[in-house]
Amino acid sequence: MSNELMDKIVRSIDDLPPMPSTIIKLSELIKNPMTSGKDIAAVISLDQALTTKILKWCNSPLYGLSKKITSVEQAAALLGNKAIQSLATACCANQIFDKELDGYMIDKEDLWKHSIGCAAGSQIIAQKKFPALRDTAFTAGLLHDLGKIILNNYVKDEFVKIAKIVEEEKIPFTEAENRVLGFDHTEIGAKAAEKWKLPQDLIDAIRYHHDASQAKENTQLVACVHLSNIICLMFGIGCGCDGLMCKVDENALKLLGIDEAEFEKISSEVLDSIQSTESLLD
Amino acid sequence: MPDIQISMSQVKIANDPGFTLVIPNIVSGIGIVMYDPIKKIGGAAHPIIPNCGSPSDPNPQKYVDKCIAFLAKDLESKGANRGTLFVKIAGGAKMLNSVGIPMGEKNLKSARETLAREKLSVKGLDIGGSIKRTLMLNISNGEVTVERFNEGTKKI
Repeated sequence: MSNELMDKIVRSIDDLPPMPSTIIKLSELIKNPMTSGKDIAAVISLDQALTTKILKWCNSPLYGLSKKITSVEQAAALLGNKAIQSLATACCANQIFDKELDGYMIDKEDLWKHSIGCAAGSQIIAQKKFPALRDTAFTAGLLHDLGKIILNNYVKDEFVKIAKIVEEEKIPFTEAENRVLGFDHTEIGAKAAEKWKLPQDLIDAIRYHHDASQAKENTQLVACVHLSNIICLMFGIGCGCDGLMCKVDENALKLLGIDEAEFEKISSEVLDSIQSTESLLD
Repeated sequence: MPDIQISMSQVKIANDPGFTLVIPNIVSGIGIVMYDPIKKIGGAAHPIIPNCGSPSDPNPQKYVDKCIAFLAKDLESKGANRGTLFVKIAGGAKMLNSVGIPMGEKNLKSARETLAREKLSVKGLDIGGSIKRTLMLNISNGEVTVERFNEGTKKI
């Protein structure tokens, strides 16, 4: 059953809203080191709604800029092309993530809040530990639960079995997903990301965000997203029936070099950041 | 009956008997309610970090130690009598494995220590485990209920 179901689900990825062409164009542009802020702005300016949203985000407390940003080109010059690409992805992801996940018992808006929270947290952790990954970590945190949206639509009946196993045996939700379905939401999310031709580092972050030790590459990015996801769940943001039924990966903590005291400090900063982004949730 | 929702790091007070204070999505943080049954005034808060390390932190209400002291003081300033206040708490949940980052346990420890320091006694609790909770305080009669995610509601 699992292979057949998995094939059906992977085919269903075509039914998701497509990644907007602007994001695909930006992904291509960003690969070229010669791309300028002007090039990035030229692509984004074709989409007026996206331009407005990006400027709103750039002027939010998330970036703490003292000067008001009035153009995408100016934003790219100050924040960097990669930051603008991350923001553009976030603005477009809203239409995919803003929905109720009844199977996971996650209310409408809560998945989006969780995604934004995980993005902000991943960015903060990366900024402290691996600054070069800051912008990619934001995008990876944003997209990490992509698989839940897809699974939620296709395995509604099986969720009852999964939830029962988790409750009775106190095992991680992903382990129960694997036992009942033969795969879990991280695998489906990674397959969707592959189908969308997202970069490998994002695919790895989506695939290993619950089991960071299994990542062979992009381990630093995976660890940032893993820890940020844990923080958001501990805060109760987007915490459905699967919420606390997961494990903290000790190797990820070691890789990040984070002890209890620093974890609390980071959690506190993540909360501040999440609360400062609440005005961006519409 | 209308609800007053309390989010993370918020503190709210009510003395209108028509209201219920509701703290949703309590996980490793601590939902705290305090109520004066004589004056029929109550308050609720949802701190999520154990102890405040910096006196200059702009948002001290996110810390369990600061938040409890603030809530008690705020209630007193609005007419409650500390001697008749009762306290009930919920939360302090943990992941299946929280090795290295026992936030729920540390929040509970901080709550117990702060309540003892503030000379406030806990009259009811629903803590620990790996579960999300909602804590509710009915201002008209001081009734406190906990809704355990996917498990139902009970009075504490």
